[in-house]
Amino acid sequence: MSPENSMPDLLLPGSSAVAFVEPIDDEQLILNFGPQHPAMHGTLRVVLRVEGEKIVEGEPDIGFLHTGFEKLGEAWTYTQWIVTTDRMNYLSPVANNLAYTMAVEKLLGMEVPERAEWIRVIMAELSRIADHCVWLGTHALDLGAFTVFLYAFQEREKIYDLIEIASGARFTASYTRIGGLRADLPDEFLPALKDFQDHFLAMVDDVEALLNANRIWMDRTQGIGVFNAEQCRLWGVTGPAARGAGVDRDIRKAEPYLTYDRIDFEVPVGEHGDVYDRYLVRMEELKQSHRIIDQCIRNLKPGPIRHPDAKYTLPEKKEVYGSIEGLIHHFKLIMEGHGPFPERGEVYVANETANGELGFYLVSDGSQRPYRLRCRPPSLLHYQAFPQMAKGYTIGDSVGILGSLNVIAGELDR
Amino acid sequence: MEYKIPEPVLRAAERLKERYPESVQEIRTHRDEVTVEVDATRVHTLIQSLRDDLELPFDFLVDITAVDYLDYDDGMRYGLKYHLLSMKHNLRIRVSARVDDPEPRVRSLADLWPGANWLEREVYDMFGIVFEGHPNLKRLLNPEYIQGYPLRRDYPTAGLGERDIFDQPALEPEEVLRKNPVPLSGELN
Repeated sequence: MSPENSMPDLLLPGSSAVAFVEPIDDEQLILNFGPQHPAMHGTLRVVLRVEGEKIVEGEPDIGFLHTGFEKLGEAWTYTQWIVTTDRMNYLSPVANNLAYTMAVEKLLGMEVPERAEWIRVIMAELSRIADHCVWLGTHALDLGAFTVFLYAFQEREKIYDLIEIASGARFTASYTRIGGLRADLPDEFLPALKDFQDHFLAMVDDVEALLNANRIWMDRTQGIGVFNAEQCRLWGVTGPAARGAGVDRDIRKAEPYLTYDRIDFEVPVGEHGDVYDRYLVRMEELKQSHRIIDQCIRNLKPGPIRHPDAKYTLPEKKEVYGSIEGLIHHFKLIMEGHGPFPERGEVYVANETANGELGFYLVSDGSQRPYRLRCRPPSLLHYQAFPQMAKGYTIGDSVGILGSLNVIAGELDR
Repeated sequence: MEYKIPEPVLRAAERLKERYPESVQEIRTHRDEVTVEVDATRVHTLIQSLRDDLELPFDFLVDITAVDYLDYDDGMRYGLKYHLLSMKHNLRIRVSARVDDPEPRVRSLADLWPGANWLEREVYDMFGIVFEGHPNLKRLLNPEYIQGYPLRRDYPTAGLGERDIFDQPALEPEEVLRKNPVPLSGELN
């Protein structure tokens, strides 16, 4: 890998997308895993070179869900692109909305009202719980525990009902706006949230009773897919996968945003870096998210949920229908030629989502459309490290390792 | 809203400038972020120096991406952006390097961080910037047979008609555009 290397062999049309297609000797088999496979969460493909059951080498092939979100970011205005963020990590959509909106707000230098911040934290933690519930259900299902799948998905349904109360849609919520939120929480939201909070921990306890000391679960997850802290640093792994390896870093504590510096919560850190520790870290995160939401409910006070400067953010609906200024501002913001005009510059904002560090890098040229919009997805770095983690383990183990990474194809491919 | 520039990051950037005065072109700050504009031929050396800095080592590679400055300013066309993080001190820095047509190339960071592999592949896929010394430089997200580099500013948002010719061998972009002209980026609305 010296700088004197000439231009590498560029792939010509018609050749295969993966590096190797021939086995090295008679003992080896090339096994194609995906993209349509029940254990491959989403459209993920990896080509494995195996000796018997043991994986010798793997090369992932991605891009099946590539839609060109970043290119769309250059064609649409800042507010229009919020709907695209729902489609990235589609298990925790409001968390993506939030990360992007915070990046635009930093570009504008805009602050949001406190009530909006507390509600955003509630939504971020609900998204984290929803993401972890799907992770839990599918991971356990891959390793044979069907009951856990049903328990986890039932809780996930309740969360989507909550998000529907708040924003009108279960998945594609697009709940945040530049400068605040789409709308304030309806009256039914808080009672439904408190009801969810009352029953949620029982599910976590049930699942822990089923899995934590379960002989089969422990055999299939302990010592599997070990990736230590130094490897996590080299491969760019963040989030629960890194914390399972002992990396004590959570952006909510290390670089606090929203109101996380006023909330009392702990960040679970594992030790061995295997699938079991990542499982324990995520289970504890479920309990901590529950604790965070409790504190947010207590701290929620009445107030505005959008930045007062109506030239940047859509005015509230009652002003649009009730006052001429509101109507004019609404008209000007929606129609061509008006909207947030950030000054020229570039920003990078990172949030701690359920999978790790989700970052948005925005370049503005002074117009109402981003000049360059880049999303740094945690799943991309995790899936890149997956063959490293799976090396030397069996094909059955690789399913568990992939489940523990929670790779989401929408975020991976954009 | 008040943004405070973290002093240790500015000092680290200044130390880098002292060590490599002819390669560090500019140190910019915006909001609470520090960007160091460097000479693209020395990117590998400078980033390794930031990684190995004794007071503030930026040991975690967060992201590698690129910007096509075709419609932005009159400098070199592509800007490579390297986002680094110091895990112990929780401080970030951005290194920016410009490369130009006709053959944009820069040295790969895959030997410093294995995680840079796919990040650079994606930049190659989307912009056509070649990373010298990269172990496996080929397209990542797009099918391997497409022509052109999608995130460049002169590549139309609606594409070059690849979806209509899935089963056929790839055509030259000019032929495809002649057959079905598409609106350019920004004209969709």
